[in-house]
Amino acid sequence: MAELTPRQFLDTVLVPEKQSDHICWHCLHLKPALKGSKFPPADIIGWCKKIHWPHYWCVADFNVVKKCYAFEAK
Amino acid sequence: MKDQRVTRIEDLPGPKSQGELEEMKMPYEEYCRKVFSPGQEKTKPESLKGIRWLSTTMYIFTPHSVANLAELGAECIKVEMPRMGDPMRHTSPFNECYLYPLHDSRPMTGTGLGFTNANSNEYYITMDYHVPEMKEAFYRLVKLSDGLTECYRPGTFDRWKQSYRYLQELNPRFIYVWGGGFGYGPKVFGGSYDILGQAHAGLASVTGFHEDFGGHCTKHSNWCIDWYSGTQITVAILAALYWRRKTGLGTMIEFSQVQAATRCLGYTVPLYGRFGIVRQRWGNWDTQLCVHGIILCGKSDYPDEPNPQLKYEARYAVVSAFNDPDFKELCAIIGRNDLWDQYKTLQDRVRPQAQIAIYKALEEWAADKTRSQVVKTLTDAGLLAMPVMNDKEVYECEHFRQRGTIRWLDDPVFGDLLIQSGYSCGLMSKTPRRVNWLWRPVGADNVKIYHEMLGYPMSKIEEWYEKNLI
Repeated sequence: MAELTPRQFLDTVLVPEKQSDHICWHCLHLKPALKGSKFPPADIIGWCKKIHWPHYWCVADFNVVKKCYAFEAK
Repeated sequence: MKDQRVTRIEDLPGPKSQGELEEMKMPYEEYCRKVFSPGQEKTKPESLKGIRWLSTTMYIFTPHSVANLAELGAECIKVEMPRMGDPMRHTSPFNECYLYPLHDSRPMTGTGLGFTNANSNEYYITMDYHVPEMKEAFYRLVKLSDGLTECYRPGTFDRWKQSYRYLQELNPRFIYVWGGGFGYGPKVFGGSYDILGQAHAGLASVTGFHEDFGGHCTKHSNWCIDWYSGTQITVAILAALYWRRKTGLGTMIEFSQVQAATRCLGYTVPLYGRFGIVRQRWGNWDTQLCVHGIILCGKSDYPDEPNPQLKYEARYAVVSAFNDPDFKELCAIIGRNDLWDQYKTLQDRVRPQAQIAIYKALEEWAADKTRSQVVKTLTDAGLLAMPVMNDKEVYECEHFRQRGTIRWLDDPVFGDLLIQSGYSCGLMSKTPRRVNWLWRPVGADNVKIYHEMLGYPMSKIEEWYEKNLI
């Protein structure tokens, strides 16, 4: 088995709650809401750590982000 | 009826006496020293004299709400468990509980240092009020008092027939305070601790260094939310007392500690509500202003001290230079005019990436300097800089010394004690706070209250004592 980077390993452990068409799923800066977590509310897919850094921005589930100036591929 | 044709000197504006004239001519500094005159508190009247308050409380949070009243002159009666007293006596420095496996009990006697300040100036009685036999004494105290603060689980006092519902029947003017963790609602049985208040209110999550710098959510070391919430209760009590003057009726104050702590979250909640932005912590810097934070200097002010707090930690300084001319000056001092060229406006400077660069440059400049050198250099240039002081330095601080913020108290029972207590609060010229004593032994005033105030014979008091009811 190939050696995983810490990030890739975390991706196997921290399973996100949702799947959707957001470009964010392929972005370095998304911190997904994890599977089974009762908190946060279910209407976000996770948080963007880039756009309002040092604060986190809630990425809504209902308006799908297709393009983003802060996008960086994982 | 005043004769309109006569002009009396005392009806005219301006000073009425030689003394008042002198006061008006004084420089402001001298005037303040004269009217506040630290050390002279006990020669002045007390604003809350005539108020009597019961404190059926434990630890810091609810007791502090009553200590505030007591320092302002109310007669406060602290009711403790018979023999044992307030658990705070046994869970604080020099009288701690010993933890398993060394020991798995807590001391039953003695008083730890943490008990100080939260119960000053109060009278100490003991009473097991949930026993039917003691109900009469408790109700009589209620009839003679203006209010009560309690900290039991919601509904406990109601079960013991001494909640607001019952007490307002005895005394409609009675003001009743419940202070605890969550209050009514889904988490009604949640307990209350300072750390829980800080965590549940969302305060700890915005305290400390950012996740990206390896920081974790942080609670304040001291139980600041206990002290803070207690003070908020006092504000509510004073408002209720004023309301009672107008209506003649008491109030029930239900005070949740986790709710109180959200009060100091500032813009956090609106920011989330309007923009979906979750505020994060930003360490010792500021999200609104830059430069406005704490930097680490290279050398300690006390390189030879054995105490690590002095040897290693006396190296932090607050630096504040956020408006443009100040920031320009700061860049010139640290020899980094390029930073000024790059970040000419506050908007540029507060951006996180800019802050990281600026503070890094500041710490590089301070790497070969002591904290005092840094503070002196910047202060001489007209910028704001302050050492981050430890308690030794706070004690030695001339400013606090002259204002009486921290002082030695000759406690009637315990002798010399160094305290801040009520003297660290805002000063009042006419009716200042004062500290008469920090605490008294468990049950010290049983005879005073039960015998002298309520009139129970000494034989009765002895009988209660034998039965462990007091």
